[in-house]
Amino acid sequence: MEISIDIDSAESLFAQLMEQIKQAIQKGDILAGDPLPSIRQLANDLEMNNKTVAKAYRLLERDKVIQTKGYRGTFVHPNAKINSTVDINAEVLEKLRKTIMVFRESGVTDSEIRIAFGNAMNTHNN
Amino acid sequence: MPNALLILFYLVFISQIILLSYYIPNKYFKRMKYVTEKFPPSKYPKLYPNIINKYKESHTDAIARRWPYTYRNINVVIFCIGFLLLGTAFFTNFSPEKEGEEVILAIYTLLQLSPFMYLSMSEFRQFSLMRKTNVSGMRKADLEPRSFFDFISPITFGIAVILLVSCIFFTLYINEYEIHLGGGAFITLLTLVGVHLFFVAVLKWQVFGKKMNPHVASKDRINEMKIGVKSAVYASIAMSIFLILQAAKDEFNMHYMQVFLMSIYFQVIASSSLGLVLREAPIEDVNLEVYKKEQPVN
Repeated sequence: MEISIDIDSAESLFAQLMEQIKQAIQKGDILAGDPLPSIRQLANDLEMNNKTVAKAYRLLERDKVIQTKGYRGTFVHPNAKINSTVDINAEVLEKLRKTIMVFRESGVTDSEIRIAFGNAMNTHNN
Repeated sequence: MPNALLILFYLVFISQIILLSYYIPNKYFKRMKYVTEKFPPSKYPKLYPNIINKYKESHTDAIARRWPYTYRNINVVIFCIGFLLLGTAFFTNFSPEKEGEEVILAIYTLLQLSPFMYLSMSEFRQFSLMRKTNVSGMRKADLEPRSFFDFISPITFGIAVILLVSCIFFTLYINEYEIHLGGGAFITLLTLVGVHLFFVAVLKWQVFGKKMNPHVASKDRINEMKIGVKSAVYASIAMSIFLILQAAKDEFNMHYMQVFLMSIYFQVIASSSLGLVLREAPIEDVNLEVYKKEQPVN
């Protein structure tokens, strides 16, 4: 099973990589439990930085699309097919949209929402 | 010296001349001819980064078509030198028992292998140029993990390890476990360790390292890895056997065996590396369409 990444694309490399792996799972090209290449192998083959592949793997692991089993390597998650259809960004956007709507209805201005959102993010990061 | 030994020497040396300067080069010549005629620079420019942009487009095909003949002519000269050496040996009462004769054999073998070494170095330079001139932003990779044992059977690898360990212990045993700095046993062990560390580094780089050829098809790249791994393991086996026999020859004062051992060793090494490429990767099966000129998009 071969994947291809376009380094000239406007879409980030890690996002393309995540998408390609998810597509391969959805199409059934790779199945639950199948082993995946190591970060180093994939990075060398795609002539990418190890950190880019590591980031894609970390996010896919968070989404339960893949799982790392220590020194044995990385494998496709047992529920990968269902989990790879979940778009976490769309989910976040939907929840934020609903929250913003509630604030607007109660009379909060857009600039107040932006400032509050920024403060909340900063508080969380600190 | 018994005549049978001399006849045997001539037979082994003739076999080396024919194998390394006729049989294998002839196969490589046909391979090169096939590529340069069916996949010329005008239609497959990505395969010839060294001549594209350097010569006029109308000349590139003719330049590429000359390569196989230059390669063949060099081998013809080396082939003739081999028979000249053989004639000299015959008329000067050569004896395999004499010390130092193996140096001539080693130098001649190096001469025989030099066209192959030149080809390998050229290939390396070509890959470097291909990477520099590659304008495509598309990068491809297999979603399958690779491991060393995808390319060689554990049994063959086990044999290589057993022979390596046996060679080390045999060298130590016949030297009564005494190693002197700069001595024969020391050099043997140093060579063994050095060559095997080199093999490990090359294999690691070949199997897990960066892609050398940016255009190569996935199937062909896997095949190249397989050839690389097999060549290294076979070379390790041949080297261990050669060094065990060398040590035994010294122990039992059989110096007259030196030239035979060396010649057979060189022939085995050449067959297991150069021959392997011919067997495992027939040129008709290699996907050369990946080097095709891209048609401009309207």
